[in-house]
Amino acid sequence: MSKTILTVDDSPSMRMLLRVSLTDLGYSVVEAEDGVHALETLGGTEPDLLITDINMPRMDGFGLIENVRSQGRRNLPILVLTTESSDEKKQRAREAGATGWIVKPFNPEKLAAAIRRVLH
Amino acid sequence: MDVDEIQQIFFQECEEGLAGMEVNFATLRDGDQDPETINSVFRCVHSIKGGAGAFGYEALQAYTHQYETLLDLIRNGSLELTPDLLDVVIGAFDMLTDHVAAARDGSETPADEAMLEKLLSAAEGDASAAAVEETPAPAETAPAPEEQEEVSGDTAGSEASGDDYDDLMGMLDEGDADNDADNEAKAPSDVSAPEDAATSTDDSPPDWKLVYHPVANAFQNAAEPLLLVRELVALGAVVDECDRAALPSLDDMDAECAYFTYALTVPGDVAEEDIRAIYEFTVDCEVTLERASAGAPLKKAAPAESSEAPKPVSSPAAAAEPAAPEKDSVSPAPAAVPQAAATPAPPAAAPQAEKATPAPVKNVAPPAPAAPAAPAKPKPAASVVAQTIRVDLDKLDRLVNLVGELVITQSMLAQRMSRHQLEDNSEVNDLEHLTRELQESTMAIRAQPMKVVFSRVPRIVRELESETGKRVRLEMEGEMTEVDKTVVERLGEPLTHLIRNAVDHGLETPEERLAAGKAEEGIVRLTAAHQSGRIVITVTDDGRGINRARVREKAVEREIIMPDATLSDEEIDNLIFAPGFSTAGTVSNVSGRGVGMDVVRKNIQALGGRIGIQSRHGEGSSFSLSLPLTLAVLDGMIVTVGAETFVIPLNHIIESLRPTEDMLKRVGNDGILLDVRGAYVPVLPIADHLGIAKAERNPARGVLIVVDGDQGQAALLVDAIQDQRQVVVKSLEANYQAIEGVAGATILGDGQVALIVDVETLTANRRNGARATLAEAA
Repeated sequence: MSKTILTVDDSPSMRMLLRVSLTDLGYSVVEAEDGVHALETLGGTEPDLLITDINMPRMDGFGLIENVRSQGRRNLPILVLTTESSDEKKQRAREAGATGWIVKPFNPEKLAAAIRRVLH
Repeated sequence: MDVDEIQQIFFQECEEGLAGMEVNFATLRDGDQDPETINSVFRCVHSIKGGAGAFGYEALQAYTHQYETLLDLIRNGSLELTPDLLDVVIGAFDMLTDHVAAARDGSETPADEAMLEKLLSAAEGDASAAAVEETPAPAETAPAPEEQEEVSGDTAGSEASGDDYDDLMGMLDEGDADNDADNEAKAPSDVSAPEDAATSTDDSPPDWKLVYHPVANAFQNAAEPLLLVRELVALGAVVDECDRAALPSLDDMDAECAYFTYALTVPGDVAEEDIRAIYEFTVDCEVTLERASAGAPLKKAAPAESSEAPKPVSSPAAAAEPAAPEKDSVSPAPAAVPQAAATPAPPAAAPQAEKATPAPVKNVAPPAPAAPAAPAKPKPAASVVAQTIRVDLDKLDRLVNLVGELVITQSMLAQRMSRHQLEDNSEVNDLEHLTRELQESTMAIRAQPMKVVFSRVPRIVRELESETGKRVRLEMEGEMTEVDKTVVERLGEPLTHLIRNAVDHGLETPEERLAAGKAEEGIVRLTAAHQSGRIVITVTDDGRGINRARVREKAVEREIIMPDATLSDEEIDNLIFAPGFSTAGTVSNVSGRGVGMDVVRKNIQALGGRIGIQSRHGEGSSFSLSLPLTLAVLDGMIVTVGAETFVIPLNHIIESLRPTEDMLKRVGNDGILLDVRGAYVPVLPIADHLGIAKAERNPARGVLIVVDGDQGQAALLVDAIQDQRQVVVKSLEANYQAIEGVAGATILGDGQVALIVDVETLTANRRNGARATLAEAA
């Protein structure tokens, strides 16, 4: 059974790009458009990994991570995938409960390696 | 799904994003500074930057980076959005539009140096001020490209992440003595060879010293430090020390906390980026990576790095070497995580704790691996429902055509039924309704919102403002009104012209407006709405209105009207659509581009539309365009000529009349002019032109239909008018061949084929003919 990854990004092309990359790596992909949508999706699916953007309408990545963690999902690795790279933002992500941080544009191999390192 | 397709989606997103930004700017210009508005602008630019990076549009990426930096400062309150700053932001938006277009079309990248300068200085304008209050992430201001050079990754994409990570995911749980032992036991032997080699050769680089400290709550963020340590070991790293100083007493220990700090030595010949690649994505740990100074004993290491680096609570022993010649590229250690090891245990307690740990830790460890088991059966991707589907236009056109055939067949059936007195049949009525609905739905597939055209207008207006020095307030309404794709595409040019005309000719300068008691800012209003099966677009300004005396004078001068012609105000206004008419005293660089309103009218008519103007002196003018929603059906007047039936497009028809003899003036051998309230219009028997025998040749016994073409008016002579209705247009070229004077064909309800008259060609020919006749007569 392949592992399932929930990708959260408000940009359809970015989701598509992730879908293609992740599918090539042998993962199943579930998508959500923003934090709110992701939380709804999490209600019905149990992904092995969550990859989320930061800047999104309705609920951003920080809000999503905080919500996920406060729901008691401590074992779900969360990778932030964003163009942001400031320490301040990373610090926020860490406090919110992120596992890792990857800066866009991502290199597929790096992404694959990062996933390997968090997917238990 | 290949990359090209994803790129297309990306550009669609860009278009949508840019259109949305345009709306946001309109709001901001109105003085509404809702934080969400600027946030939304920021997100758009941010998304474009993300995609640009992903697809390798470096110029676009670099540009959006700078733009985003400025927007970020505005949205986080570091910069106040003054009108001046808003101008910069909007100017940058226009250039962004160009950048996106360049990336999409593969055309030349716009020269953006000046704009980048502007963005930079605008951002700095704040930076100094902002620095006082808080610290607006200077890291972000640093241009990405530089960072990238440092790390020698392949594509721009590969390392953007490089710079500031020294953080690492934290991990280390390790309380697991067994594991420790494993690592320590195995690693050295594995690596000993390379290590020796490294030290034996003088020019080989010194070994790397890496200190890895997971933050206390790393486990709670689902981090798995062991995976990371194992990868480092696989690279040849040796675990020199596991610092357990932070380990609390057993009673105080939280099994879900990470307490250990690792010091590892990695052979010097391992590329820095390979090491960094292992941890740089993590956020739950602190890492320092430095070159060891030759021979310096690891354990003595003083705290390296900048002051804030590993001031970690962990013991100094864990810290890396001071020497570290190349540390900088790796180290901008983020503001450390102070809460790291909450309660460092007294060293004395350590050994004890160590022994005790295995138990608790073992308990902890399993849950992690077990976690994936929970998701037992991931549901099949419940992916986002696609909102759109891309269909080849040819397929769509075929569908439109077939539906057209169906409409015709249905109306033939209805006629036949009625001939047999069966028209009350409710199934026939149902069929008619269904057919009509099917037709409308099909047409709707080709429909696109006017937004496509409207979204370009604000920019045009902005450019006009700076060219003319006028101040314009643009109001738009109905941009979601839908109309056939072809109509939308071909409306761009005429609308642009009308907007330019409104600003350049319609509006007065701010001084003139003030003098006239008007607001300094002129208003240009663009609307679109559906009205009885057509789309009506208006372009209105509150400027000076048409100067009728001047128009009339000019028309006489250009021999468009006779000096003594009696014209109503409306007729004078409409003179501006006459070919070759131009009112601009001096040809301005803005709207006097050698084309006049006649070209606008021609374009609109080519779409089956009509254009009209209403104007009040001193109060402004309003142009109104009425267009069919689709080009597949046409409103036509069905006329008889001899035994044939023709369709004359309604949008060209001015009036139809049965002339009396005294309205007809004969010129030369067979030239006839119709006197329409003082204006002479050549009479054109369709029968002559299209070679129809046995048709009425005497205008006084037939019907004259006055039509308006690009080249002027003509009165088409026909035998009789049958009806006025919508017909489905069939192309003659596609089914037969092009015929001069015929624009297409249709099939009427009774199955008869009727040709659609090409008014433009007929009137053009007629005027030339009439001129020849007049010349002959003279």
